[in-house]
Amino acid sequence: MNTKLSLSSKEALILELLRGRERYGLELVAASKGHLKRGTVYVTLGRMEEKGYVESRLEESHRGAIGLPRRLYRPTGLGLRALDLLAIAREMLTWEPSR
Amino acid sequence: MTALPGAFALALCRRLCSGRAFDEIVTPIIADLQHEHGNAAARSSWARRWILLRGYAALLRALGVYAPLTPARHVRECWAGSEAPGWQLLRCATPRAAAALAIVLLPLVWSQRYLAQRVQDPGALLLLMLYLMPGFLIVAVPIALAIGLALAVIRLDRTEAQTRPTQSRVAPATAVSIVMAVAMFVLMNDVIPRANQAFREYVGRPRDIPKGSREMTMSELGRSAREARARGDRHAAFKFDTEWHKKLAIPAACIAWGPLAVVIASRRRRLRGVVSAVGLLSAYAVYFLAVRLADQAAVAGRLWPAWGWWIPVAVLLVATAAAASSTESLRAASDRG
Repeated sequence: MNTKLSLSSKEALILELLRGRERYGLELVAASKGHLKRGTVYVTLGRMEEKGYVESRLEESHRGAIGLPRRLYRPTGLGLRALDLLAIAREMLTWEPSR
Repeated sequence: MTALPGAFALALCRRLCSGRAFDEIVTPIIADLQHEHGNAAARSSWARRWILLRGYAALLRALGVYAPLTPARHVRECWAGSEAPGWQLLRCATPRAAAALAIVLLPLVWSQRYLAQRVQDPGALLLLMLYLMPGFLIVAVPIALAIGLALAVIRLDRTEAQTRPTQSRVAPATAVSIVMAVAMFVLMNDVIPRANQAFREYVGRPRDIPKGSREMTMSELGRSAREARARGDRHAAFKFDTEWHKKLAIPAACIAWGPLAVVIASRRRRLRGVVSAVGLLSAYAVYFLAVRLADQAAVAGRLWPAWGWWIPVAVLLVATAAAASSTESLRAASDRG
């Protein structure tokens, strides 16, 4: 299968924010300091889930929980690898030869 | 007890959105809204209203972003790769639709047999039939394609190990119908007027017979209608307006036939192929009768031309959309039956 890794800046930011911990959409919006919008974050997360960069689960309901269970997202191995590759590519592009 | 905020929006979206959009977009946004609103219980009522407003705005924005992406995704899912459901359906439907087209064209060609008595030269007869053919195709192609798609769905259901959900067939059938609608529009607006005029000039001999309403393109009809209104000829204006709307309404109706065929053919029953073909032919006959009556009423000035042509088409499109959206439950019911 011909799989091409593609990662937009928003997707990279989401993967960065999800590194090491699970978060739900609104938490990502708050942590992004204005870079992610609450209206579009779930569209991006849906696309990333389709690409296999993130996976999600519904939070466990507990006593006194309000409303619908929230969806928690975490990065997959593929997502983290794509993020690492992007970081390497960026590093190579900004590399300067020593004098 | 008061309902949780977002409950109405959730119920509304459940009806209007696809399952995927509902799970991926709507539910998480409403969940966020409910949690944020619940956690702000101690804050002022204005703060809570602001949370609701932001939540609903986010939902609208998300759906506004998602909606234009959905057709592109459908197209990709239906047509990517030679084994995609779209290509499978098209491969299976093409020979069946061609056979159905030949069968439907036969009585239409037969209805013009008087020409054979008047024109002795076989070459001239063939030419005249070619001039009439675009008009026949407008009637025959939609129903032939619908029957072809219905028979293809039945065939694929029998041969595939795992039955696909009906929606995966409705989407490619709709795409095929849209392509057909564009082709029908080209036929209606460009080919038929020229062919009709060529037929009239060939039979009538003088080369410059003035064009009638059926020999005009949409721009010519619009101009003629304006001129007729300017000189106070209401009857002529109605005739040109009716023909103008007809050129758009017939292709628009074509969009319904593909999905309708899939919906009718998806229900499991005895003699599924025969019942589907008869059902489609009956639906087509009712539609044809409705537009004929509406056309006559519009030309006679008893009905506004736009209403005359668009009411039957709108009824057909809405009925098809309703049937397509409830197709899975109908199929499940027929499976249980």
